Amino acid sequence: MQNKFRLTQSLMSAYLWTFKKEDGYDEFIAALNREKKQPTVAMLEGIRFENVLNSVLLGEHLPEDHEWKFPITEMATELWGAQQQVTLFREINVDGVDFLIHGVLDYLRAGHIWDCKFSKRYELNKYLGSPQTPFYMYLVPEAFDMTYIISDGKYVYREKYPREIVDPIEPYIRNFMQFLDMHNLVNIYTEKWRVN
Amino acid sequence: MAITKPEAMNFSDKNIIMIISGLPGTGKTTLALSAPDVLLIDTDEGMARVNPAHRKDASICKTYEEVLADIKAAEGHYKTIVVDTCGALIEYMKDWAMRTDPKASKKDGGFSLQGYGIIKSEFIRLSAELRKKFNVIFLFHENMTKVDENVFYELVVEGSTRTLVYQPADLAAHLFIQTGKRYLGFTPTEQYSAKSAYGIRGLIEVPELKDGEPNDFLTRLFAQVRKNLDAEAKTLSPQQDQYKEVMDAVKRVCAELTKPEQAADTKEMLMNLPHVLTSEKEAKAMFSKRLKELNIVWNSAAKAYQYAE
Repeated sequence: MQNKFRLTQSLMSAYLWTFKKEDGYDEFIAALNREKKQPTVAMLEGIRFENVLNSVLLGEHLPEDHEWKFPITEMATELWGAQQQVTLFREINVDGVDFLIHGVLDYLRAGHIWDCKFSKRYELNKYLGSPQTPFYMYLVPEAFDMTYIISDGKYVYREKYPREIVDPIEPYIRNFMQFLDMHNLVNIYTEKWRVN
Repeated sequence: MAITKPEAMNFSDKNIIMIISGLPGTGKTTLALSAPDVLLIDTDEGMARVNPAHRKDASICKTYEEVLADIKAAEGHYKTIVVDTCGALIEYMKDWAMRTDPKASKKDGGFSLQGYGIIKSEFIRLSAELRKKFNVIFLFHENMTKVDENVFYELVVEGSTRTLVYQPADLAAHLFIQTGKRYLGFTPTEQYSAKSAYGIRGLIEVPELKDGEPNDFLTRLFAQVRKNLDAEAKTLSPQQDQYKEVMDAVKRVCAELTKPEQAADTKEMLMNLPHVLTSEKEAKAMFSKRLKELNIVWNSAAKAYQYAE
């Protein structure tokens, strides 16, 4: 049986950050080695926001004076009835190598994917070019679109990517493999990300 | 509440909010005037630059209150409101906020952080109000910024409101001239922000307006949007009905699962439903969630579902 390797959008994002961030390479090596990352304050705040949203989607009532009443109510109205935290796998073969794409969608309903983000300083088109879009659209070939539904704690913003404008994932994977090859990292990847 | 079946939905009256942005001189105002029955809110003296043959009614205001009054008076008389430019309108809103709400001013006379909150909320309110009665076109000037070799076109508007103005818009396009031709770019790129929807995407050429020709490009584009919406609703309608039926069945089947011995049959039942759209993946997710609630796991050695130890 041929070897198969797990690939996630987070690993792909970490790889892409090596080109954009000064300490991006070190962070990518940590991700490649599957090192647990200590959550930052911003990450913890994002988790708390998502937990509040999910509890409202499960029927909990938010008090009127809750700090996130306005954005959570708006987001919950849109996401009502969607399945939360949908874990998906799908195989792909790129240049003779078998990969297992793995992802956890925040919300899925009737052909639409949503990813919830909490960003104190949201900038327009922040998620344009994020590998998360093509990876999640690959995981759900029947989906029409993917929407990033974002809040800064006060307002709700949306970035919607219809399938027609989403890139295929093969070029991402090909570039990623070339990068690993150039930096002698193939062994780490095949060791740490092999699917048993 | 009025529930409408997809097959009964009619988008022929849907109002559209669109952003058009471009460098000065690209012809934003003339293009905006090609929308159906326009009233132009001229906060930037844009009408003066329009060929007289294509001019339409305009409201020339000096305060935000005057803008609101003219919009109110336009109800029933016009189908489209063009705000030219939205950046200037937001300046009017700042002035209005400072005059009407003490929280909007800092002690030194500047505009406060809370003031920005006030105009953001007002912009969202105004957009929602306008959409009920009109199509809306927000025009923005652009600045060209260069970082290394990369060029980016950015809306000329107060920084913190830039992200917000796109939110109510159905469509947003960057208007530019390339090799003598004008294009609207509806798909966001690394060079400009944009928003595509309802099958309107990528680059659309705006034909040169010749003497004697009607200025109706956006009237035709809006008609296309409504046609696409109708076609999409008709195509999706049977799938959506089936999706609803399948998901009702998924919920019922999952709720009936109470013991490990039932789990394999439940799973089979779920997989045998006539799935459509993403219902199969949603059914699997719901099944996994139900197993978790009941503390049931799959034992691969015993090849059976059982309670977790």
